[in-house]
Amino acid sequence: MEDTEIIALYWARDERAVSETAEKYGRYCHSVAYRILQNKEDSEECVNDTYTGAWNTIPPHRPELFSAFLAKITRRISLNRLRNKTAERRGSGQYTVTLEELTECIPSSLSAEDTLETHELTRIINKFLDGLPTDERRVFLCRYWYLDPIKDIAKRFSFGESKVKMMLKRTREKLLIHLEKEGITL
Amino acid sequence: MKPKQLQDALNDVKEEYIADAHKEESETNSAKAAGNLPFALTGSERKGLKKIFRRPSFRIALVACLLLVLGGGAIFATVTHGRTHDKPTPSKPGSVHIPPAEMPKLSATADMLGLICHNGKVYTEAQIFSSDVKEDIWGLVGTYLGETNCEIHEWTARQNENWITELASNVAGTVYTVNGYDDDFRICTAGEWYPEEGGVRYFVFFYECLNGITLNQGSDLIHHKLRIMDRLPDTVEKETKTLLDALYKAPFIVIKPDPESGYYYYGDKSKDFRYIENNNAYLEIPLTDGTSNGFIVYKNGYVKYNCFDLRDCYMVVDPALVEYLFQ
Repeated sequence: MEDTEIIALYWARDERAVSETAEKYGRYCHSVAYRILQNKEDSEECVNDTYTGAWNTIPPHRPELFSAFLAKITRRISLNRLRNKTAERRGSGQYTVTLEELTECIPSSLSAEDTLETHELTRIINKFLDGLPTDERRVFLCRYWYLDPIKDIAKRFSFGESKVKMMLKRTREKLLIHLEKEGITL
Repeated sequence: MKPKQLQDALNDVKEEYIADAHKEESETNSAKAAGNLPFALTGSERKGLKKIFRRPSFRIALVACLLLVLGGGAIFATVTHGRTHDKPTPSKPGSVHIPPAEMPKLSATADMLGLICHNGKVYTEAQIFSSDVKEDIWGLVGTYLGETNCEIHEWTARQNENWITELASNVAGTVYTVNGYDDDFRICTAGEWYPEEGGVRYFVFFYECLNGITLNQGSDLIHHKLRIMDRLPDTVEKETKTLLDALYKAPFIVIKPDPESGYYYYGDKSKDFRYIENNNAYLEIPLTDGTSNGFIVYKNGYVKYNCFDLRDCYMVVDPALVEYLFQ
């Protein structure tokens, strides 16, 4: 079924929307959740919550890219679940590692207490991604959006692991400069 | 600011980037056909390809193809131009379904477009861009997909019903993805040639697939395929921007050709808006990535993307929005 037809089912409040979504994108959403949670049962629950999230947001939302729309919901739910879990048991999985890596991108003039509107930060990151070469952008998102291990990224793009690490390091440095240029300073 | 906030902000980056990074998973299984060659060129492979480009026989063949294409938009002979697949049909009001491409079963007589098969789909020739500056062209060229097999001809469909094999084609070339575009929609051949006046020119030749899909409104084409809205230069005219905004939401209609007279003629020619003199304008929209897209705009507000697959499909906008093109 075409995405637009599935979305039309959501708008019509037809429950087949959920089964069609599960059939078409269940595996994709599960892989997004599993990379974060590393746990099958937790991932399945997050995917089910994703369908509820989609049901609750369509309408009024009409996603343009349905797969990515669902993945965003899955990622958000999975990260929240992981944060709740790691509050008890810290230091596991790609989440913690990537979080540490991202620390490098935060301008030193900002303290941990400083906050910025998340949507404003998203706008700035989008602008940054717009200017990245395609491969660099893909690798960056694989690592920090999907939380893929370096080894998987290297395999996906037929790069060496050291190349991926170097690309990510340079991209983080660029992001740091970009954030500073965008005036994220006190 | 905490890294967690950066992680949260990342969640809402552009959806197209998210889908693109894990493309094979975000697409449906049906969209993934066998035969994809997801490898990149190594340095030695690139050198090897350059050697091939420099072979006189290859250059002659390439230049011959380019001349043919540039001269008439047609390559080789004998598959009916308008009949490589069934006609588009409205699937519901405002949307249009373009059936997958098919080779005609019967012998045919007109020109055959340049085409390349990839991932079980048929891509037909579209724009060509060339430049003296290598980076201008190679910046558009993405992942190496392979070499065409040049085995498609007028008898292909008769000899083998399963003629859509990976990189089957009627043109010679090295095939790549196009940077910044979905390779379900656009792939390219690229290379260099040596003009008589000396020097070297680089070219990229796009092949586009807009068949086997449903377009529900203009944004499905303008945004999701052509990526126009992301790459519109600041210099674009205000009126053009307004027209594009309208096209974004525009419904599609299909005007089928007259079954008796075929693709090039529709009903009473004297009353057909497409044949009225000075009734249309060509709108070319340059993009920031160095490419451009062409549209044929009619005074009645019908707008057609200038490509083979959508030759009978029109987006419809308020005629007042296109008046500026005729002043």
